[in-house]
Amino acid sequence: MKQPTLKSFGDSAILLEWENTISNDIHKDVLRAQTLLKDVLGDQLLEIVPAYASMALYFNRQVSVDKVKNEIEQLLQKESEATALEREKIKIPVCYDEAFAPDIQELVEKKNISIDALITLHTQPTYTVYFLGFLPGFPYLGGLDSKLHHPRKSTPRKKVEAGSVGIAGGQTGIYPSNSPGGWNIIGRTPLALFSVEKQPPSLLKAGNLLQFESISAKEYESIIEKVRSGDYKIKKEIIHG
Amino acid sequence: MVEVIHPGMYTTIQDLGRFGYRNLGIPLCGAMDRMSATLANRILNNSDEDAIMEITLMGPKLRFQEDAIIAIVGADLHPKVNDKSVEMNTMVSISKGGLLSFGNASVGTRAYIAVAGGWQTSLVLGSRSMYNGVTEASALDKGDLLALKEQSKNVHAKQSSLQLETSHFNTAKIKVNEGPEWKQLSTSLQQKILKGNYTVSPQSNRMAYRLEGVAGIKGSEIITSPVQPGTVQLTPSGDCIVLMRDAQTTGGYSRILQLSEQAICELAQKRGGATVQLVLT
Repeated sequence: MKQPTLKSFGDSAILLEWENTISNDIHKDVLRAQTLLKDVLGDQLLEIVPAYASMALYFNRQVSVDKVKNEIEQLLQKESEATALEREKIKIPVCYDEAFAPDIQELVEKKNISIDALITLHTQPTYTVYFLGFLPGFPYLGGLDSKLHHPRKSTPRKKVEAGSVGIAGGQTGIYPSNSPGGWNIIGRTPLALFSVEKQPPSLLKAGNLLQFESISAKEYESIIEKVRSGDYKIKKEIIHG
Repeated sequence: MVEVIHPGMYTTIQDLGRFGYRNLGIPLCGAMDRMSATLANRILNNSDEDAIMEITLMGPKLRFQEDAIIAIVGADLHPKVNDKSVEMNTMVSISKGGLLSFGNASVGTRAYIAVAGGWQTSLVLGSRSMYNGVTEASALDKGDLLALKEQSKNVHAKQSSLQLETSHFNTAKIKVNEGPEWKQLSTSLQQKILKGNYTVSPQSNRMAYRLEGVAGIKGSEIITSPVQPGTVQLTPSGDCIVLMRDAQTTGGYSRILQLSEQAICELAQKRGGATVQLVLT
């Protein structure tokens, strides 16, 4: 495990920073540190917020940040081995029908590929949920095929429907709630990514792996019904590594 | 119950914030000026975590449908009960049918109305702080009915009136610490940032305060990384943005400075047009 640098971040937070790059290996170290520090710091810690190559630790105001900073440094130095991670891989069904995909036609024309080819390119990779941000439950995903990279729309939509799956630059993402947005929308998932009624309220969390699965409009409707009645079982498996 | 006759300019229910969910992208939220909010609760012997009402520049009109004991702390919005001025920073009794109204803020921007036992709006993910997409409403609206706690009537409030110093409202010096990217700036740029006289943009809100009017300062984009209330972002186009309580949990601009908790509260009392300096401590 690579060692992060530690910086004080305001009155009662510490920022851990790894090599400044977006990569799976660095992110795995972020996840390892998160697991370790959550266990060791316990109640002193209010929250941990991981990102691509950094992580914020927010402490109770009573905690002496300088003291705990030294403890963390020593703790992480002992952790030189790269311990195996247990990660959930979650299947996200997506309907790529034009009714749910207002930008798919324009995108395939610009890329000069068929809709089927786009679907294959989008459903093949296993994506990494680097972290959640921007909107409650919004996943920053890594792993989009470079053939699908495309700039965001010059004029954002006033309303993008919850569940919409989009592409912006080198990223793909899912809107957890209705929101204005400038991503190119290529499909929609019937799953609810964010609900305050649920615990945890977000379907995804940092470190999850994710794969999209193409479904028909009929399947979309049937999953919507099942999600509503609580009968839908999310497809997931545990991956070690 | 208390009926909202008019919501005022921007009135919400807040507490100390929604902790434990920032890793899911849920903003912390909570009272902008936490010091004033806490003081209002303490006057009534409430717990610091009890929900208070945050009112902004132009206060609401509230009809109390039952007897209640309240305390108002923060900006001076000239509170009146049944058209008679009432004191701030101390407990105030309101009888059933009483109308609480306000003038315009003369000092400060945000005031807090505490009720004995706290406002009983719905608790969502451990907090009553209103936020779009998390709580049902993002602000109070005309016709809303707000529940009070039963024991409101028999409160043994602290008789001592508590008050913040006037500097809390009129200081122009906003205390900051170095942010994660501060050391990456050139010394001359650091000097420029700290010598600048900034004007608070009228577009400032619960999410962020924009500081304008200092030319020739520029930040850069960073790989998206955590931000928190009080983080000062400097964008490549020279916008200086101080994130406040409703800020996103991560951001992609250089985090040059970080306000102290007290400084966040003091900045929250500024309005568009105010002049401030950033003072490194």
